[in-house]
Amino acid sequence: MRRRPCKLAFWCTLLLLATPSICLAGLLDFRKSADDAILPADQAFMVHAPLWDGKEMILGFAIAPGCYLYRDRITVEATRPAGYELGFASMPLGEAFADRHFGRTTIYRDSMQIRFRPKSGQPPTRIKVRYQGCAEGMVCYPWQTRLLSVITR
Amino acid sequence: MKKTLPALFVAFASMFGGFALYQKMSAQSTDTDADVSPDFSLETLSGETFKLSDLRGKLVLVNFWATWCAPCLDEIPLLVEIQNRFASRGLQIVGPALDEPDRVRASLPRLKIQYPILIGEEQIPVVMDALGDRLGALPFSVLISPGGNVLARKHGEFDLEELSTLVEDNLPKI
Repeated sequence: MRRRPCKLAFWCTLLLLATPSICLAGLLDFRKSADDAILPADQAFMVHAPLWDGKEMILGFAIAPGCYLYRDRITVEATRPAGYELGFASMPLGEAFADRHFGRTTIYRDSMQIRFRPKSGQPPTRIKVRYQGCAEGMVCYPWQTRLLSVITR
Repeated sequence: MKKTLPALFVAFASMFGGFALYQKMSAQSTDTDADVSPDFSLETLSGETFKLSDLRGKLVLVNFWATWCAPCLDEIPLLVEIQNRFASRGLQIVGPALDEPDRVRASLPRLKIQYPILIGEEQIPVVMDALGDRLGALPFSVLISPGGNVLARKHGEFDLEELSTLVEDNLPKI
């Protein structure tokens, strides 16, 4: 006697075989992934809370892979106490960068620190940081502004 | 062998069926995801009021840009070319600039932009957000159908083929 194929088993087998194909097709669908590679501004650049070590205020940036900050597009000012002057800022040399539109410029990748040594010898309590950078070859982020309280060690 | 061949046939048919099903599902979701674009008003560089809804009936590409954004500047010659090529068939590009108006004005002779440039440093981030920007990055482009639906959003530069195809596929039907 010939055994009749079980319909349910047949359809289950079809579904089992088709499912990985559907998933694979989804993974290979490049049309929807263009924006997925771009980080939001607050993940592309992270500013650490400024730290006062008794002599200097250290302000650190963490820069995501593939992103960079322009050296001449970072500004820092004290907002509290009023009229406080941060004094001389020591910034790393950075990386020379040739831009077709902006000419020769300097950028930072990965991480960087700015050190301030105020003449007063006292830390500010609050600062305003502004910075601007890009994800290389993809997008640029508008100027970001952060208000940060200074941590005293 | 007699049993193996049908099994292989079923396996391949299922795999191709899976791919085909995915394509059909994603095409359907593109259609149903078409969301209505919010209307917005911004000032043009010459001081007039631009209203998105005044362009109803045209295919509109809203390209947010700035003079401090290198990829935006890289993309502009392509947008100028596309506007020239498809203007008579119902395409209108507009360029809200997230920038100081004087800087934008100064850059125009070099960039040779012939489509309307919109300004408003405070309003433009709000418009970007309303049009679906989730990254806060430029360039950001939104393609809006003649009926006012958002057809596509993109951060970063278009290439010529990609944008030509996108525009061709969505131009108003005559």
